[in-house]
Order: sequence, then structure tokens, then C-alpha cells
Amino acid sequence: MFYIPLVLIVMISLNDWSQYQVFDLKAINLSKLTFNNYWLLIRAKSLIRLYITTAGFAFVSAIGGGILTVVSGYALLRMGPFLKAVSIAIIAMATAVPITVIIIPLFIEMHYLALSGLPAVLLKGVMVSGGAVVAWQYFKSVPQGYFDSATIDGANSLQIIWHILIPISKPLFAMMAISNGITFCTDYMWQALNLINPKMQTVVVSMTNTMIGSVFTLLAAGDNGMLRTNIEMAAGVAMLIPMVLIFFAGRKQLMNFKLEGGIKE
Amino acid sequence: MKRSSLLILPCLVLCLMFSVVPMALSAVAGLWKIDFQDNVFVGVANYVKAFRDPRFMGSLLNGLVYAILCVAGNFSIAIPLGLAVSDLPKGVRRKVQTALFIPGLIIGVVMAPLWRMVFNPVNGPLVGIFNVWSNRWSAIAAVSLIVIVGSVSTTAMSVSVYAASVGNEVREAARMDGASNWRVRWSIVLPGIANVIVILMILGMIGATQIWENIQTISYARPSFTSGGPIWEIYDTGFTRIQYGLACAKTAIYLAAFGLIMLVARLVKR
Repeated sequence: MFYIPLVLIVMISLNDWSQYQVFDLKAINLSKLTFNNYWLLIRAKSLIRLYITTAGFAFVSAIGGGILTVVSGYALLRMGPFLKAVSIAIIAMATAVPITVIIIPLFIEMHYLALSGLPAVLLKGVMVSGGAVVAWQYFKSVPQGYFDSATIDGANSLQIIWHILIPISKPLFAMMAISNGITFCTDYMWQALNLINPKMQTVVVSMTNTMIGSVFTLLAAGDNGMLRTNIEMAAGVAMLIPMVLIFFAGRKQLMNFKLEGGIKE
Repeated sequence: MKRSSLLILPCLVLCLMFSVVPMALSAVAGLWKIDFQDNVFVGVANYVKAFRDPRFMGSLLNGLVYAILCVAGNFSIAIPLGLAVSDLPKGVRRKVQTALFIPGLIIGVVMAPLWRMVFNPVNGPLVGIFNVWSNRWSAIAAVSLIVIVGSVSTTAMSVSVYAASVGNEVREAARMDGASNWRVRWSIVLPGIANVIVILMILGMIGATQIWENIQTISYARPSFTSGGPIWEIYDTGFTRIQYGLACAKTAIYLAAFGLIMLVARLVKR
């Protein structure tokens, strides 16, 4: 039941409904599949360039978020109680309020900080709030002797993070990187507000704008309502591909975290 | 203070920039008429306008209706499904849970064209059942259905994870006493995870008031649309009607209500 909408979208995106003016179940024809709608998106919307742009931004978001998680978790581990309480209070506030709620004042703030556009998108992409606390809890299980030995040998904090923490926190790093990557690929509202230049847009912004707005310019001949539906479905599937790829690349780490996270020992 | 403590600064700066500062700014910016060129101080006029705006007050009521409908619909399916999945053998259970998680990755805008086709008030297959352009409650029901279909699998997965953590010994003891599988799930497992279910419901209700992309899908961006929730209304005020100060005032009012709900959730959790 949960996969029926997805299957319908894929089937409709592979059909040509130019001869239909209204929705008709007979229009879903498995024997006449075509990739024409996808070719149209590749030509008219530079779909390949969109994927490359999205992959680049998602990579920055994923790796930046992973590194920030490990660094912040280590900092919380080494902090005194007062600073720790203040830091966790700020992190808790950031975790509790979704950004969609404060989108307007956030937009105004970014404008006055001259960070609107790509900087705003990338900064939000690398932001980790609850992840820092997760990392702190994760590092609590590391024997204190590891850090003391490294300090005695002359290692500074960055060397401890690079040589000790990152190697032992690969599952955590991977989970946060994947989670950040998927979140980046699904964040339409903030990216749509900031990535106005079509050459800087990600696939989710461009394909959603295709669905909502100017599909008419893609049509080769006339304004056909049902053919437009095929192209919109193809745009939806195109948007889904990066998320699915990231998920399957790291599903083991992500599912281990999701499925074991709720179990009390 | 240890120098390693300074490593928390990037995380804290981002949290302040993306959460704490905007929350404070929403209350302050609501006192201004903002157009990024000639900002004018208007005092509480925006707040008065927000409380007198029937669309905004209507959107708060719509948010409450979305919260009730989405949570009721979602959990009435997710709880029995999650409880059933939790009883599967571990290897099969993990595969089923992964399969339940995947549909949750699909964001609203991906499904948008399908739902627009289904709910098209001119030639969609549900013409006569849902009239999303001219009937407020019909549109709310349609959006709620979209949200439920999109989120029930992930909720069922979460319920199955928590239900699986209830010890097997307790279940086996009940079965030895003659309880059926559904009796065990209903009388043993469900009470064991009741606190978690309540928290998930409260978070679900809060999330339902923040529905945006699904409403944008159904509304076709029509200015006469009256079925929007609070976030859709705030977005519309700021970015469609270009009234940033008024939108900030509405944000501050919504945040106050949001804070109250979180406080209630914290008390329930205790």
C-alpha cells in the first residue's frame, strides 16, 4: 500500500498521454513505456548539471556535518559542567524548533548578514544540533586513557580528533553524513528561497519549480494537460534519485542507528 | 577553560544563527513594517493586525484540525501495523522495517503531481468526493489524507522498534497463560510503550501544524485558499503578500503557542 503512489508515479512518468485530455485508468499502459519525458527534462532543464550541482552541495553538507558532529561531540566531552549545560541548552533549543517555523525571520537575518544565497544553503546543510549530543554520548564510552596517553605524547586536540576519534567513530560519522545528505536533498523551502540563479539550483528546487510553474515551456506542441502530468511525474522521479542513492549507499549505518536507537539496554 | 572546549563554537554559532536569533528576531521584527529599504517602526500594530486577521486565526484552527486528523489517521493504522511487525523474527523484522522506512524518504513535492492529478477539481478521479478549491473542510481532508499516506509507514516502523524492545519473557508468560497474539500486543506490549506513543503523537501533532508543501500542492497557489495551516499562512504573508513584519509577528504568535505545547509535552513525559 505504501509503495503504490511511488509505483504509479514511475509508471505515469514512463507513459505518453498526449492523446488524453482527462485522467483515464486505461492511460497507464505498461506495454508502451517511453523515456521521452526524461529526455525532455535532460534537454530543457539540464538535468545532468542539476545532479552534479546537487551532488557537490550534498557532499559538502554530508562531510561538513560529519566533521562538525565529531568535533562538537569531543568538545562536549572535554568541557566543564557549566559550559556543557549552557551549550546543551542552546543545542536543545535549536533542535526543538524546526526551521520552517522561523523561516521569515531567518530569511531577514541572512539578508542583513549578507549571507543570502549559496552561503545560507551550505551553512544550513552542515548544521548539526542534536548530532553533537549524540556524538558526546557515543564518545563517553571511549576510555579516558586514550586521550590522556595521546596528550602525554604531545598530541593537540585536532590530532586527537583526527587520529583517535574519527577512526573509532566511523559508524557515527557515516550515519550523520548520510542523514545530513538526505536532509539536504529534501530541503526544498530554504533552497528555493536562496538559490534563485538557475545555474546554482539543486535538483529538488528545479524539478519542484517545473511542477509548480513553467512546465508549458517544455512542451513541444500545444498545451496538453495530461502530457504535462507525465512530465511532472518524471520531475518527481528525477528528484527522488539522489535521495535513494544516498540511502542505499549508507543504509546499513542509517538503519542500524534507527533500529537500535530506540532499544533500551 | 580547556582550549578543546572552543571546538564547540562552530556548532553553537550555527545553532544561534539558525534558531535562537531568528526566534528573538521574530518578536522584534514584528514591531516593524519591513521592506528591506525603508523599514518603519509600527509598534504592536502588526500583532493587532495578526489577531484581527480572520485568515491567520482560521489557519490556527486549521492547524488544530490537521493535527487531530493526521495523528488520528496515522496512528490508527501505524500502531496495529507496528505491533504486528514487532512480533516477526529478527531477520525478517529488520527487512520489513527497512521497507517501511523507505517511503518516508519520499518528500511531499515528489508525490505532488500524483496528488494534484488525483484531487484535480475539474477532471480528477475523485471529483465529487473532494472539492479542494471551493470547500475548506474538503481541502483539509484531502491534505490530511496526503500526510497520512506519506507518514504512516515511518510511524509504523518507529512503533515496531519500540515494541520490539519489550522483553520476550513477558510476552511468552502471557502466551503460556493462554493469551492470543493480539491480546499480548494490546494488553502487554502497548501499555509498555504507551509513554513513547504519546510523545510520538504530540510530536506528530506539532508537525501537522507545520504542513506546507502538501498545502502548496493542493492550493495551486490560489489566493482565495482558506485551508492553509499556520506555517503556510506565515509563508504566504511574507513571500507572496510581501509583508515581512506582519509575517514575523504571526511567527512570534505561533512560537508562543508552540512553546506552550512543548511545555505540555514535557509535563506529560514526566
